[in-house]
Amino acid sequence: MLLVPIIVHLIKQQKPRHLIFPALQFVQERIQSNQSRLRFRHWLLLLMRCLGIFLIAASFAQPSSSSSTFGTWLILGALGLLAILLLFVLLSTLVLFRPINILFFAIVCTLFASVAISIGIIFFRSFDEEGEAMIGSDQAPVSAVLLIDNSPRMQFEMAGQGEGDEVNQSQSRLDASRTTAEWLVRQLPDGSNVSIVDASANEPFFCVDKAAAIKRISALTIKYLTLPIPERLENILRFLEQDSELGSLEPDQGLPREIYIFSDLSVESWRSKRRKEVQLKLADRAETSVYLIDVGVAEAANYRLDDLELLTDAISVGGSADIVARVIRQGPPGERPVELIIDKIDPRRPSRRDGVTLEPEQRLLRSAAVTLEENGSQELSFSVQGLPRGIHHGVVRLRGGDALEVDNQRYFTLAVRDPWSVLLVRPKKRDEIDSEVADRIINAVLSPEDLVEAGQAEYQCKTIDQEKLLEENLSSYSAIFLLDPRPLDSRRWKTLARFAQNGGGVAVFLGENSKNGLSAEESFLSEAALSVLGGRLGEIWTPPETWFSNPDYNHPIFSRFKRFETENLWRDFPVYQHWGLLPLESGKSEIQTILGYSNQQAAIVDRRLGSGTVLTVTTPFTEPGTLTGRIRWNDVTTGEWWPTALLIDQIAEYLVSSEKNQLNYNVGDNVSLVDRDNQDNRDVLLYTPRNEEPTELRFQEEQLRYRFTETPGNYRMKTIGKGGGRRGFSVNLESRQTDLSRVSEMTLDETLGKGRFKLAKTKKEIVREQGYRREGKKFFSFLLTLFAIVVLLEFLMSNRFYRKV
Amino acid sequence: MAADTYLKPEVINQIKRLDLRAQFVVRGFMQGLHSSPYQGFSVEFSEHRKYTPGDDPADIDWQAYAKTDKYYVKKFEAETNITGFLMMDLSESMGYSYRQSMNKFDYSICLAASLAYLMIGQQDPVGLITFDQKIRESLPPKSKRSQLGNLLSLLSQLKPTGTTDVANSIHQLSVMLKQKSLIMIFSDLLVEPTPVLDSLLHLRHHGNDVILFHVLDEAEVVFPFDGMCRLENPENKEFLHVDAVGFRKDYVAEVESFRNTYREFCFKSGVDYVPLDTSMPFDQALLQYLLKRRLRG
Repeated sequence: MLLVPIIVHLIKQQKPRHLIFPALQFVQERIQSNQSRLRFRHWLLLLMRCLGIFLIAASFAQPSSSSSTFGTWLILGALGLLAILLLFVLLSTLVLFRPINILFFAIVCTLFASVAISIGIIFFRSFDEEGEAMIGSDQAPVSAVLLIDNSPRMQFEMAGQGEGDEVNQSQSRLDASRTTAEWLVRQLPDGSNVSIVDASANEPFFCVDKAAAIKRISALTIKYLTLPIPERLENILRFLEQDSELGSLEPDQGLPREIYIFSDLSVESWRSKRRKEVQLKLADRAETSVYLIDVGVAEAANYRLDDLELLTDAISVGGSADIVARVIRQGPPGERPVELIIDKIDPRRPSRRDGVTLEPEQRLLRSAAVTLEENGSQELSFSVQGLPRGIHHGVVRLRGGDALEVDNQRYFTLAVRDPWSVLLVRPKKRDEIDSEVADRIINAVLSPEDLVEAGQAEYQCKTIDQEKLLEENLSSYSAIFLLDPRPLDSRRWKTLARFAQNGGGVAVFLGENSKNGLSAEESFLSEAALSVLGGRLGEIWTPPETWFSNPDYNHPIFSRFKRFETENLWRDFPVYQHWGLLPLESGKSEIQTILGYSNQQAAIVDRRLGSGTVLTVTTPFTEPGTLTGRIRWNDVTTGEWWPTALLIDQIAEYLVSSEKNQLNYNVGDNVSLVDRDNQDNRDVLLYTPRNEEPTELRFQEEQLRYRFTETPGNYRMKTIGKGGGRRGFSVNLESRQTDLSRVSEMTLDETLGKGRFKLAKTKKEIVREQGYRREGKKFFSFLLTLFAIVVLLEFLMSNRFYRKV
Repeated sequence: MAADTYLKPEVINQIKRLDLRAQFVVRGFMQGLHSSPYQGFSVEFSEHRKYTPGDDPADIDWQAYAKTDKYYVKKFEAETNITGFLMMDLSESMGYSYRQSMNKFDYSICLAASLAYLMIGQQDPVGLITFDQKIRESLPPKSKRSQLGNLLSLLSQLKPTGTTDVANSIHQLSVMLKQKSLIMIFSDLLVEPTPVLDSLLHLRHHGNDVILFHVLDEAEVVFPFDGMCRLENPENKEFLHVDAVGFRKDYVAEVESFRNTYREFCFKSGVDYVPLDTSMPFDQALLQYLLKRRLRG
């Protein structure tokens, strides 16, 4: 566009008047200096025309500055023009007027230097990050969105830890956010659009007026189910985008946009996979100002109970449950008592009276104390046993209180039921000793005699011969152990398959007896067998020195082994022989190797079959201590074989787990409960921890679903009518949700873009940052006036240069 | 232009009142009639007029005062037999006029005719010489009345053409002159000044009196143009582009500098230098010259 004045300039330059003039010699004498001046004036004219075009283009671009810096910009502009003018005078003096008048030259030089220094001083003083806006006001309306984090972390009480003049000593972070947000809304210029957005998944909208916005702020409460700030920011940006597209509905009238984020800057509130997207979107919307208002503190002290490690949600009558609770300290060293409390059995409760939910009374079951180092943690294990049959609700509570109460308790629900029935299937009496031993080893682990006698055994085992498998009513068992089986015919395999598909658990321990009948009708290679095992039996491996290796610690069976991860548990239990198990060509994904050998072959393979599970163990756990006449398969049950015993216990636990209900959930999970005993689908009343009227829920096909789990606590259920049992479940806030660790600057930069946001902590800082960022006044009129002046000057100058006769 | 155009009555009247002879050779006049260095030079009483402050008290006629009791000043009409030559530049540049009714050449002729009339009226022989690169035509000086007619007739036929060499022509004239004469040169002097100044010195060296009428067009003095101009010299077709407004000051300074060069030289060498431009009424220019002559006397 700047070419236009240049072209005009060149065209207009081509029109000198032609005159006869005899006294040319007088002209020639002085022509040199005149030509320099002429050229100088042409440059000046060209400059003027370019400046004119620049100004008109700049005017239409509608540049603007924050109102606080507007005046400064004007002063800078005026000084800049003065500097250009002085420079022009200096240059023209140098080019055109010789000899140079030293005094005049010195004066102009001094003036120019003064103006340049003034510009520098004003610029650095005004736009230095630490400086204050010099002049201006912030009275132009804006579209403001206030994103206030109302996650549980914001319950953190500022007592004793507040800093600055903004924080009331007894305020929570949410209260502090509310106070600042209300002040912020009040000080927004009249005519501004305001939207109050919290961290829940609700869609943003603009409030009718500032009063409505303030009302909405004061109505904000803690939500346990929240989205991270990057996700919410994405929603807000989308909302602003839609808003400008809709235009007529809720137009923001092209007002400058401001997003205020009230956050405690904890790691969890900024943990998101959408950070990059948010950064890109913000980069695209450079006109949107982002203010990050820090309501957290750098060193927040807190005690926190980590997620409970409840190895099982259900134990048998007489069985025990280990509840592992880890106490995490953020801050200086300290001590805290921890209690495990459980509901007393009271058939009348829970109930409602006078608008209050009467919960069952609780009794202290266990207690312990932890001594914590600075930023340390300590683990506590509570063993719960002797509970009567039924559902038990409880809580692990950290006594002593601290700034953040919500993470001082973890709720749990435990089902106590009859021992699990396990069917042990031993091979036909070819080798009587082996069979008896096999049976005995498993029995010794799952239902030791002393526990059985005391009525505390978790499992109730029954042993049958392999041939009698079809005669047994399998539906009364939760798991079947096939101990070193001989080949089975298709009927038996199909029976086992059906059992598994209906939710049962099958464990097949392959061994010496599995050698026979690899090609006969009774086989491990028939279609029926393959449909159960999920793998094809290969050759027998006899590696020189092998033991169990590479357990999958993420698998439930090995979660208890994780603490021995660094120890080589199985080194003392060599395996001499094992079956090779080849994956089927179709359906490779169906099986999962959860334990291997040190020679990289599979030791235990897990396969989901319908609702149930089939485990294939490629070496038997059931060999007697001494053997004659054949090679031993392994020594896993010799010596101090507690790892094998634990493994058998965990296998049994895993196999029966498909019949268990999940009773412990996290906030936001969908609850699904199965009750096979509730054949008549009786309705239940659900008493939530929200102290509200009970909700009537209905089992459909023995199943109940519930999704409003946004509040942590024990959810107790009562069957309507007589004889109803107690049910329920517990919901906990994930421990990491109350991690108060501060997010790094790098993460903030990655989310919002480096330099893209303004961090403020106090009202004063907010005002200052607003002053910098807010687009107050536009330069349009000034630029247009300047343009008019330049056009006038150009007109006068060009007329003077190119006047026609 | 008709010959009588140059002979306007008001011009003649003003010249008669200020006698050329009286003004021209002040020195001879002031040294007394008895010892004039110029042979044949006479002074005749012309008229009385009332004394006004500023007149020379020496001119008061005491006899008239005795008779009338009023102061009267005696006025004299100078007469000389000095030979005058009107030397006219014929260069093409003399024909230039920008916005005046008369170009430099017409203006010069008008002036020359006035002087010729005046001189012949004083019965002084006056001749005419025209030149460009060299002397083209010459009319020998005579004091007869008929000479005026011849002179004016010749003047009216002159046309400014071609280029000029003022210095060469003056040198040529210096050689030609056999007696001391009054040389009145009419030229725009748009040539290199040094040779011209040399030639003037040559002329003066032979004892001649010289009046140099430097005639420029009014536009050549004030440079009245505006905007960008392409200026072309009619004699050699050279041209230049100038920004007239920006250049005017420089130009006027240059012209003044040029005139000063002549002015200073002429003052030193006894040449009368009369800078004129065509915006000045030619009679006034004549008067200005005569007044100046008188002041010098």
